[in-house]
Amino acid sequence: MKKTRTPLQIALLPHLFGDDEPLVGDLVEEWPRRSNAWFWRQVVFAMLAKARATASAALREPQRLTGALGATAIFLILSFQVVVAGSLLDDLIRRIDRTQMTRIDHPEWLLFFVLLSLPVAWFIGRAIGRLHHRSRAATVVITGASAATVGAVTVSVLSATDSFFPSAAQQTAAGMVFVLGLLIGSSSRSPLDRQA
Amino acid sequence: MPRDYLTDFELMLLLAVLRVGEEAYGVPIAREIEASGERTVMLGAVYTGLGRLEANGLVSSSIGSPTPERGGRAKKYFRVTPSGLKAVRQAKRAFTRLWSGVPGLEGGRS
Repeated sequence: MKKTRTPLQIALLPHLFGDDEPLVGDLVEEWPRRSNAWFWRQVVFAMLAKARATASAALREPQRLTGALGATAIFLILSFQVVVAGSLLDDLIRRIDRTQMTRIDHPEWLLFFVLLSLPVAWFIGRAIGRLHHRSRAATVVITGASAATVGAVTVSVLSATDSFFPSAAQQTAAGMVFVLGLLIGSSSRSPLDRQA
Repeated sequence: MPRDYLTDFELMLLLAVLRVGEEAYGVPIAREIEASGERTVMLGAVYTGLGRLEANGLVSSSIGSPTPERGGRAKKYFRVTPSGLKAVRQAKRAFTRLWSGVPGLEGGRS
């Protein structure tokens, strides 16, 4: 059955698989004949296969291993920063703003914020990717500030939960989604970049 | 370090590339295995397997022209090299030897 292409699914592929043009082309070509479940199964499996291939290549070549370890370290440090810097920022806002107008206090909204944070992070990541060549200091400031802001918002959303767990775990998970978006955004290349 | 034996999926990939012929790229290769091998095939696994075979010199690849139905993306065509053909023949001989003389495998359909 022929179906119209959903631009979002197709537009997502180059960002997930980068320069793997043959695979992206195959998915675009075959998808109209298959179900959406088939498409997403293929995407998830291809991402896992790519991660596994990258990991084994990194283990064979120490230089690539350094890069992979560096990326993992950045991911963990930024995720930690979302929790710590976010909590400190939230505390500071509470001290300044005595009426506590900034508290969102709706834990049930967490999923909405997490889902919203991913495209925002991707957009910021794209900007950071371009900025990186011009100013490393600005890159660090924007990355840190955006991570702290997301952390503060997450704390504010979870403010009803007094106990350390599960709020810290939820905040860390939310932070990891944001950082993942940042990393995908900063490593993705626009069609203009590819032409250049 | 390259292995000196083929996994069942690698053997299927080589046979599918041989069966499809000139138009052997990801989609027809996957379709061929699905149709003949009666199993669901992931395109990611096809490319990972073919990449491994290419690294071992059993297949070679070339990039084709971009086509509109693929959103302007090029196909990657695969061909079995003489070493690949030799490996397939060796596997066939090994399987045939293992098959022959096993009473449980004689005659039946299941």
